[in-house]
Amino acid sequence: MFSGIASLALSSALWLTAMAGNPLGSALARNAGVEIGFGSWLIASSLPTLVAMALTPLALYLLIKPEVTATPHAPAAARQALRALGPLTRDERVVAGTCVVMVALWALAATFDIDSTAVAFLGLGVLLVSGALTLGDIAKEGEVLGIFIWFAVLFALSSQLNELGFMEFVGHRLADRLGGLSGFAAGVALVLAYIALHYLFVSQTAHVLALFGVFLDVGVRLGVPAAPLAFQLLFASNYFSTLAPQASSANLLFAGSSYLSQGELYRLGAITTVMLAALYLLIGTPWLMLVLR
Amino acid sequence: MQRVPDRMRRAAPGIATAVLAIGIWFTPPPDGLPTDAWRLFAIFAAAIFSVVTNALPILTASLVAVAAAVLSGVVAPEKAYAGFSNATILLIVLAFLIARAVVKCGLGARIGHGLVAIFGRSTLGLSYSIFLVDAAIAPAFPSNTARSGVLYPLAVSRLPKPQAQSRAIPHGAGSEVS
Repeated sequence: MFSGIASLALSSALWLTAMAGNPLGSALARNAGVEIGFGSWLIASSLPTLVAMALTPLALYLLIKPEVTATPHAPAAARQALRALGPLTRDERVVAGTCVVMVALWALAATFDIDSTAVAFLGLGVLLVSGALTLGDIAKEGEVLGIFIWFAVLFALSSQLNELGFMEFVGHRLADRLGGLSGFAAGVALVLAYIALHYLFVSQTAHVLALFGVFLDVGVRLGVPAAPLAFQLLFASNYFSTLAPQASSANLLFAGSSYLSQGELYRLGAITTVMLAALYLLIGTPWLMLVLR
Repeated sequence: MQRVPDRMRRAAPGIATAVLAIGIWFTPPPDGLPTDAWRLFAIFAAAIFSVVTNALPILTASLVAVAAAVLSGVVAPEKAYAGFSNATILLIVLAFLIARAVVKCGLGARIGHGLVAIFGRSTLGLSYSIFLVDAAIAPAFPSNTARSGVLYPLAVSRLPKPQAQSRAIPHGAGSEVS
């Protein structure tokens, strides 16, 4: 399950268009004179993200230590199971068709101004009308209500914390504290503080909106080069989604799956985030210096 | 003699949460910060702390937090409940139900078998396959949340694998596979 959470964080970091906060952040970076496009984002993110994608499953594997590790017969068994399943059933075709249409509509959502949530309502409606899903099935999904409630509550409280000025206050306070540090140390400290503050945020996009501008501005005033700092903060905006179950709405499905306890999620989240921060700072910084010249 | 420290150890996270909440609440806010923002921070920090220390499940902590925030007048009711009409959050709820259909009709299992047939030599290989699929579809999905709805049914339906040796996969292994 945790692979899913970590994977979403890294795939988001790889592409400019993969997470709502990314284009938002690049728009904010333009205010500081840093131009970021689809191509320059991909080049900047490619090396650190690919290294992270290669190492993260391995690290999780060592951390979680699954009882079953080698499954040499699994591929053959899976092929046999596939043969046993035979051709697609009617329900499978309905679900597959619905999903393909939904995915297509989601991919086009931004271009044609289609509401993503309405697409999901439509998809669920089609599944119910066709009988692929019954009301009884929905009644059984009890934990959805719990997830809906806690996420909606934390989301609203976090937005309020921001609206009441708490986040901005912390940002400015931090900037004053870091005044004496050299450019590089200040940059690293800013990125780390930016990540730690994500414990208070329930939306990555909200975090970018609230803090990215403040942190970039503070860094530039302290003498940190603007472009590498902008990229490092934006990458962090993606991978800090692994920090805690509430850190990103993308985690909810995985966190709610009950394969991992809340405590384990926080523990793995903290370890993964620290590891990714180290990777992005150590590999990403020289790489950014190289490609941005 | 054994029981008292035991009970105390179990109650410690809860007591620490209460101390944290009350402590921050009654500390005067730092210069330049509105009192409401400071008190909401007390509530929010205590809620997260209680979940991290296993004092409360996340649902319970959120319920208590929102009740405290609204009843103390720190947050207006309509703001505190705004999350329930948030489009992204509704999308998640719907994605959960749609994922159920993918698993129920057997399509998830079919795709899962397909991936196992290609990557299934080890638990680690399965883990890598998730990263690959995700990275490949990412540029077209401007939302990691929407993408989680695509990946999740694939990950889940890969868990109950049909062959004998992994039917007994308990907790730890299952979490790694997905």
